[in-house]
Amino acid sequence: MKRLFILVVLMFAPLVLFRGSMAYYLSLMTMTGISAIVAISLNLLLGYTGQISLCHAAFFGLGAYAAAIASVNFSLNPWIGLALSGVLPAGVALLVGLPTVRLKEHYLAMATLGIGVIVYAVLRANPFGATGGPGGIFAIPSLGFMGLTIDNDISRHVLVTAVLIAVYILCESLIRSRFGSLMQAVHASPRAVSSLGIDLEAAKLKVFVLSAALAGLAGGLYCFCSPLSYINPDDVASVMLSVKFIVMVVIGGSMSLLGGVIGALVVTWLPEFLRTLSAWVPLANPNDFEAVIYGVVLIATLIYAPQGLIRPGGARAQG
Amino acid sequence: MLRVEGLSKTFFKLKAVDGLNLCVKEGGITALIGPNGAGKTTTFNMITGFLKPDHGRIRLEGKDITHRRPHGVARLGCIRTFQGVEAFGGMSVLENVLIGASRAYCNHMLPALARTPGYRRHERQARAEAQAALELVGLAEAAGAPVAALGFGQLRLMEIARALAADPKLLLLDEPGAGLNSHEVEDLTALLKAVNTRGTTIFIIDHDMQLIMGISDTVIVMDRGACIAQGTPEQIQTDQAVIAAYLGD
Repeated sequence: MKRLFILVVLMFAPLVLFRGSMAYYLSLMTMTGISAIVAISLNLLLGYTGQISLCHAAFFGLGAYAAAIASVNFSLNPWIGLALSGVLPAGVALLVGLPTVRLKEHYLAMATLGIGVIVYAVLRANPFGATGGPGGIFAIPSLGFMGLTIDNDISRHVLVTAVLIAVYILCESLIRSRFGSLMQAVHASPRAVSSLGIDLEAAKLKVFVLSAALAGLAGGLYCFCSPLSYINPDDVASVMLSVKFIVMVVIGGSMSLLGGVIGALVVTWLPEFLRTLSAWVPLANPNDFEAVIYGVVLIATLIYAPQGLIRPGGARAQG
Repeated sequence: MLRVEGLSKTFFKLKAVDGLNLCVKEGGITALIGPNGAGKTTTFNMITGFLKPDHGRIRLEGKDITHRRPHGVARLGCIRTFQGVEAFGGMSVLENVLIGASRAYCNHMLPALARTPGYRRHERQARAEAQAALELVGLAEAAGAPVAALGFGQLRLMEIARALAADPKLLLLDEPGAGLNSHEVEDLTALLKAVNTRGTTIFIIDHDMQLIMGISDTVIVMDRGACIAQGTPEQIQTDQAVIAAYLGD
C-alpha cells in the first residue's frame, strides 16, 4: 500500500516540480510509466521466476503494431487495438514459449535474443504491406473516453498512470498468491518444484505469456499515448530496447515491482539530464552516448547495489 | 509397489547403473546401500524421472513410469528428497511446505489472481496439511521462520515435511541422515517409523548403518551399478559379497 502511494506520487511529481516546461517533463513521465509497465512484466519473469528474456522489446513492438494495424489499417476502434496489443504478444509468447521454456540461463538468453531479432526483422520487412517497413505506421488515431479524446499530454499521462497502477496491483496480488510463491520456488530450486508434482514448464510458460501480454499492452499504450503519432521498428522493437528494459529491472531491483518502476525512471530520465554532457564525449554518433550511460550505470549498480536500488524487503539499498 | 527391471545408465563410458533389478514392497521400509559410486542416486534419479534410463523398465503399482517426467512420477504419489537439501530460499518454512501441499492447484494462475472460492478452499486445506506435516516432523514452532534461519538438521526435516505434504504413497529419501549428529539420527529414525506406520512406503538411501539397520525391513546392496545382495538387515550384515564390496576384496 505504501509502495502504491509512492508510485502515484512519483507519477504526478512532474506536474508540481516542473511547471516551467511541463509538457516536456510530463511526456517524459508518460514514457517512464509505459516503460515501467514493461519493467514490471520483466520483474515477474526475471526477478521472481528467474527466467531471462531478451525479447521483451519484441512483445512491446508486437503490441504497438497490433494496436496500430487494427486502428489504422482496419480503422477499428482504438480500444479494440489496445486490447489486441495484449492478446497478440501473448499468443506469440505461447507459440515461442512452448519449445523454449525448457531452456536454462544462457541458452534461454540466446533463444529469446533470436526471437527479438526475428520480430524486429519481420516488422521491418513489411509483410503483406501491413507494417509499413522501416518507416512504420503513421497517423495513429487517439483513444477516446466518454466523449473526451485522449490527445493531450495530461489525459495521456492519466491513462498511462491508471494502467500502470492497475498492472502494479494485479502483479502484486499475483506475487502474494500461491502462484507467486510457486514462481519464487521455481527460481530457487526448479528440480525440487518438479519433485513435488508440479509441472515446472507449465508454470514458467504461464509467467512468460502473462509477462508478454503486459509488455504488449505497454506497447499498445505507447502507440496511442506517446507524443508521436507514428511507430517504427527502431523505436518499439529494437534489440537495444530489450536490453534497456533489462537494465531497468537490474538497476531498480528485480525482486520488487517498485524496483522496476524506479529503474524505468532512472533509465528514462538519466540520458535527458546528462544530454548536455554528450558534447564532451567524442563519439562518432552522439546517440551512442545513451548506451554509454546505461553501461556505466549498470556496472555501478552491479558493484555497489547488486540487488538493485529497491531491495525485496522494501528497504533502500545502502551505498 | 515399485519394480525396476534391467535398468541401465551410462555416463560417457562409465556404466553408472548396469542391468539393475529391484523391487520395493508396499508398506515397508526398504533401504538401498552400497559404496560411493555404486549408482544409488542415479537409480533414484531414474525412478523419479530426473534422468532417462538407457535401458530397462520402471513400474509403480504396475504402471509403467519409465518415460514419465518428474512431476508426472510425483503425481502418482512417488515423492523424493534430495541429497543436498533443496530448500526454496527467501521463503518461510511454512511457505516451503505449502508448495508441497498445494500441487493440485498452485499451478493455476488465474484462480490465484481472482482468489476464487475454490482457490481459497484449497488454500485453507493446504495450510492445514502443511501445518500437520510440520507438526509431524517437529518443526511447527519454526513455521514462520525464514528457511535461512534453520540449521542443517532442521532443513532436512523441513524437506521431509514438504515431501510429506505432497501426500506420498512411496517416499524416496536420498541420504536423509548425512550430516546429522547421532541425536538427530535417533529423531529421524523415530520420524521415519512414524511416517511408515501411517501407511507411506519408504525407500531410503543412506550410509548410516545405525539408521538403516534400525528401520529397514529389507536392505538392497548395490555395487558398481548392480544389485549384489538383498535381504533382512541381519542377513546383509553377514553376507560375504557385501563385506567384500565394502572392505574391498
